[in-house]
Amino acid sequence: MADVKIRLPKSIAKGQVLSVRALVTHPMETVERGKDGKIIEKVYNFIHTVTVTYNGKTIMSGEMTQSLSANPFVEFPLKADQPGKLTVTFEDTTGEKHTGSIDVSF
Amino acid sequence: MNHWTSWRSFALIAGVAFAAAACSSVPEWTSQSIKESAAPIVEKDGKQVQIRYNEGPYSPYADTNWSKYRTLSYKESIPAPPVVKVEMPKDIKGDVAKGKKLFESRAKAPCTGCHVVRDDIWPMGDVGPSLVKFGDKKFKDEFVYQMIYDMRSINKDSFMPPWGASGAFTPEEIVHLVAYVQSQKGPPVKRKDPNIDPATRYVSEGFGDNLDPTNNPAIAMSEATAAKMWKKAGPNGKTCDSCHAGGAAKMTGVAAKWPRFVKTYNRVMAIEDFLGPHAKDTMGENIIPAQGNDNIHTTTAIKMASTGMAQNIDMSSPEMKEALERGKTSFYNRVGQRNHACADCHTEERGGGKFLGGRKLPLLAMPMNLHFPTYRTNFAKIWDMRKRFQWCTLPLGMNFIPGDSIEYAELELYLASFAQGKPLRAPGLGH
Amino acid sequence: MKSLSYPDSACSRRKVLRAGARIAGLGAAIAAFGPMALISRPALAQAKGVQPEEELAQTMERLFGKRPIKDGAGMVEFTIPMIAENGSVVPARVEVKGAMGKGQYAKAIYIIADKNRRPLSAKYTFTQDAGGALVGTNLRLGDTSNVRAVVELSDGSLYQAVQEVRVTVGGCGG
Repeated sequence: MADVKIRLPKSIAKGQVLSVRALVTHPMETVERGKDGKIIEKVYNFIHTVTVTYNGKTIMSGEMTQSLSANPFVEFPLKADQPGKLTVTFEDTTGEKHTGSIDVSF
Repeated sequence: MNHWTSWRSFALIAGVAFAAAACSSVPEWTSQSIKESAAPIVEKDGKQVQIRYNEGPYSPYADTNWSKYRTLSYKESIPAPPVVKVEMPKDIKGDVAKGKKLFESRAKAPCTGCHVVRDDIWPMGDVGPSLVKFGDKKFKDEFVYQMIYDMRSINKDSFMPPWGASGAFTPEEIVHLVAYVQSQKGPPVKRKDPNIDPATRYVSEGFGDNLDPTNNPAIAMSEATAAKMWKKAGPNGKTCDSCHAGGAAKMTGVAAKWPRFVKTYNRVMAIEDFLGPHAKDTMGENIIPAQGNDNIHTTTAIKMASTGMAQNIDMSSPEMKEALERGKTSFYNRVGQRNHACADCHTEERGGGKFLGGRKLPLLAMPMNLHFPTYRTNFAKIWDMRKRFQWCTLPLGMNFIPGDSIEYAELELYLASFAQGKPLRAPGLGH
Repeated sequence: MKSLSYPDSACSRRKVLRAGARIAGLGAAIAAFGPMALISRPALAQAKGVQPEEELAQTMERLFGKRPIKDGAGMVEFTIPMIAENGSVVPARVEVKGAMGKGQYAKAIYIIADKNRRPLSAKYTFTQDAGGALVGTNLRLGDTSNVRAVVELSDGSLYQAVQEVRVTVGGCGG
């Protein structure tokens, strides 16, 4: 989906460990409280998991929480030892997956 | 219902002889923005209230009707609050602890927004003078009372709000405030944490690169909305794409020329102001009213097509020159219960560049327009400059004027006059 | 694979350790399953309702048991502003630098905001294929608070860096 943006460094040398960033547009709902101060029980829509794969192999996975900002980004390392496809998937509590991919080449 | 009038139609009726005089009068505009931006005054539970955005920062002020106080409207008839000289009540004893509470109360001002005191209160600003040795000046209580009640009676150029004269603090509260500021005396204050004092405070470097799409969510948000809006048809079947093929990204250089005088509507407009009426005229309906997210996001996408290009507004026409003058007047116009002007917080001679509470106030010369619309991290929303104007003036105790009003377009033009030749860089990224 | 994650206190440390043993045995199977095998699934817990509030001590106990946490100076580079312009977006970055033992790598980075309703803000798990350990994200902080970055090496040893972040607000409500 188009709601994930991924940024690679401008030039990449083979074998280099890169820092990559990915951002997803998502509300990351926080808990709401009623007038009595108690948390309103419902399914809050936020991303709970991010998974980064490179050529199909998982290189990082993350547990995300409501303590992360709306429209969150994640920065992570990538050892660019071969050209390939980098995929970042964010999964939210409604079960929706937000996925972005980018080709890594030298 | 979204009819609008202008002095042009008035002049046409009045005849040519009147037209010359009308040239220097102010054009009129009936808002075509979303309701929350047009902000009508309505009756609710027997009270007159103003309808405003139902989101984040507006909630503390809810729908309070400030209609007693001056606004930035060109039609404003309420005079500036008169300078008042009063006697200090003799039957109330000042209480330092009560005064401290009032001094830092966010519901009230807070005084700490502009003044540093001896206590470690977070956050304190330095727009006004430090009060850590105020008590050592040995002013009489009556004099200090008068300072807080209406400083203008002592120094006519002061831009401290007339706290008593405006009704923001009661006489009793001011007596307690007097007791508190008079208690501020003694040797220099040593702070454990340098961040308490604005003079030694670490200055935040902000939120990083606003043009990085993996750092500023406004980029993805704007692209997505603009793509959707470009294909949305009006009642006559036309879309933006019918005339502007290729989407917002193809409008290279367009945004660098706005705000500008638009003959069709006979007024200065920002892009945000223009989109709605333009859609109405070309597609049969205002499908993109000002201050709605669709409008703000689409404007952002149009501006992004000019990122890095120098702002190049043609200021040469008489209409633009008059508009610029009016915009400047607005910048120095005192409004609201606090009787503040934009200039109080955004010029170097006054608060500009200093800390208001924990945040630095931007300066007119920075300039202040090029990053708008901007992503507001605290609300995860994109705001155009008009929404920012509305928010700036609300805590001053000023009712909204519509976001798409001529007043705001011309105020933006004044801010933009400091940015000629400088590169556009929307969307911004700020607190 | 549900027991791979330990999103709430219902999941005891013993269960986690058992899951860990299974991972070791099934390394090849994980590779075959592809990415899904490593994904933690706290959604299952969340879908049933809001997770309970936790004190910092409870969070630390849940995540790390009684394992000692050493000072990460020289190894854990933690970048977070001393003053956050607001609590909604606080940029935080953790990079693991410096020498580790032979064959060692950083397998997880935890970001913990002491005073949040649930202090654990994010946990990132790296495979050896990542080639390094760094993570950046934006935190929400309810109030001025300590924030800590805890790094877990592949031998299970823990290192942390702590920084106080002051959350600011504007002068007149803006």
